[in-house]
Amino acid sequence: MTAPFGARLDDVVVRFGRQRRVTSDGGTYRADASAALDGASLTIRPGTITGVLGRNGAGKTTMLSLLAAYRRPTAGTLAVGAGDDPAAWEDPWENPWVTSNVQLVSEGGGVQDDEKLRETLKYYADLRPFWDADTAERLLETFEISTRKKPNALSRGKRSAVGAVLGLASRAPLTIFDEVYLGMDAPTRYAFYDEILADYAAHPRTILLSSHLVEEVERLFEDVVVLDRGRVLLAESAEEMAARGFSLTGPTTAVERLAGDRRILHRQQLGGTVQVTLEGAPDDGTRAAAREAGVEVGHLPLQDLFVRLTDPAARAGHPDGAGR
Amino acid sequence: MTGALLDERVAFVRQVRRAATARATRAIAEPLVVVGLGFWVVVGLAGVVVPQIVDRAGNQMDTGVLGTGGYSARWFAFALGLIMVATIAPNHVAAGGTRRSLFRGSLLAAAVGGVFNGLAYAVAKLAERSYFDALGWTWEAPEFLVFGGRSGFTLTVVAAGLAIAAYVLVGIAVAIGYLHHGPWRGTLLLVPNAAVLALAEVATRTERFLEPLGPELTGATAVAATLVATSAVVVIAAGWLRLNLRTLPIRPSR
Repeated sequence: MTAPFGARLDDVVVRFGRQRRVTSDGGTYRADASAALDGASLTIRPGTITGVLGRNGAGKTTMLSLLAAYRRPTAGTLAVGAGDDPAAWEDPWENPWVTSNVQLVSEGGGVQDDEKLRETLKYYADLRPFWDADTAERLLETFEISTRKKPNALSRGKRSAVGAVLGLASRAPLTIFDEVYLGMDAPTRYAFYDEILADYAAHPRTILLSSHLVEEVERLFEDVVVLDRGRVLLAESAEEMAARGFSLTGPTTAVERLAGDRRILHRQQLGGTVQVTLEGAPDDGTRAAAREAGVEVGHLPLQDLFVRLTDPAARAGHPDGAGR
Repeated sequence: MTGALLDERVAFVRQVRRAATARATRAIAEPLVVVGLGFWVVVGLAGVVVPQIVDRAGNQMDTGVLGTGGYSARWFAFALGLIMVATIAPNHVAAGGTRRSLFRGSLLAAAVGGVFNGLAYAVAKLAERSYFDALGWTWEAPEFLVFGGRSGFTLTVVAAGLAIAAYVLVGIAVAIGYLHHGPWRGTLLLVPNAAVLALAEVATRTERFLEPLGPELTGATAVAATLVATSAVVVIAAGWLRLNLRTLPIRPSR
């Protein structure tokens, strides 16, 4: 198997032209040109599981589509390849070396809707150089999917599960799951997460995982990328991200004394007990003082940080973050 | 990159490119042959039954039903090309194939479909002529793509095959037009697609167009001109398809 792939975006812009869109009541209107990505720059480290987070319309799917050569950027440069030297990476567009080593799956995407599922699986088996038919078969059983059914006859959750099967069985050095959880019930989602971890451990590669269910998937992430309005708000390791904030929970007076002048990201009061989320990492003095005052020091959940970072009110004060 | 790694990569790329082209070829060519076989069985049955009915009624036919069948075969191939590529194009790219390998696969599938359907057309014509002879009727060739002489059969296969290949490629270009540009511009692109098909129609009738220009332009000259014209249309259809396909974006569906 080829070594895990990394990826790099430099000032990438993707702009869609004016297009006619359909409203929920069936009417149509012409939408103005909009930038799905607006100067996005980041590096995806090879051999990691990276979470790609962002609100709806932040540009996640567009960015992931670029990496799999589904489309080309309007401006900027893009490189994907094996090894630790980004200078040796290549433009993925029409590059069979890259495209055969990159697998993007989304719920229900990349399948032959009107043919039985086994036809799609045969197609992948023929094209994917590292396709593992045994894994595919096992996962189909796990997710209870019949290959005799057509994808368009499957429920939304089963279609997502098909995406999970394709992504895991392809064993591509860069495997991208774009919201491949939609419609899955909780047991299936957890089985999927467990399969990702087990397969990643057995067959190291680079995995990008885009999800809105941040609390569920944060345990998988080694790196995290947060997109907002087409720009990279931050791209760093999960550890660095965790050090961006912490929580204090306890009696109001003690918590407020310990919080001092730190920036409060979030505050929750319940009777005489308060929980505040603070920016930065707690120093040893704060930890000791908290222990003495009966205040609990907690880590900052990724979801909370994500919500704060992409909060329109907080956005104004946050510098434009370019990735590493 | 060391020499060994470079060699390994070159071999890897060659293998994935071949696999992708072969898979696309098979996906498009199989229906052209398998469903095409069903089409020719139905047309063949009509070619037997209709003259029987006419004969029993005491009447006679000048041209058989296979002339219409031969023309329908082109549209049948056009429709199959369109349907198959609309089905597999997003799948092909998602599975790691390039647009280039899809294009090469389309060309090879059009060639396979052309040879098969051209062969079926020429065999059907021969059979129909023999059948008419057996019924004591005079068989008249349809107005296009049936050549006489010693090499007539081969020429008919080649010329009819080229015409069908052009139709397959234009059918694929129509599918790509809709996938690429959506319903509005995809429909507008039917105009240039129809223009290529019109060229194919003209090319298959080259012999008839040359007739009024003088006897020296019929016979071998007309055959050569027909083959050159239909080949040129295939090249135009292939170029038009490549133009549409090379920038095809794939939209992740949800």
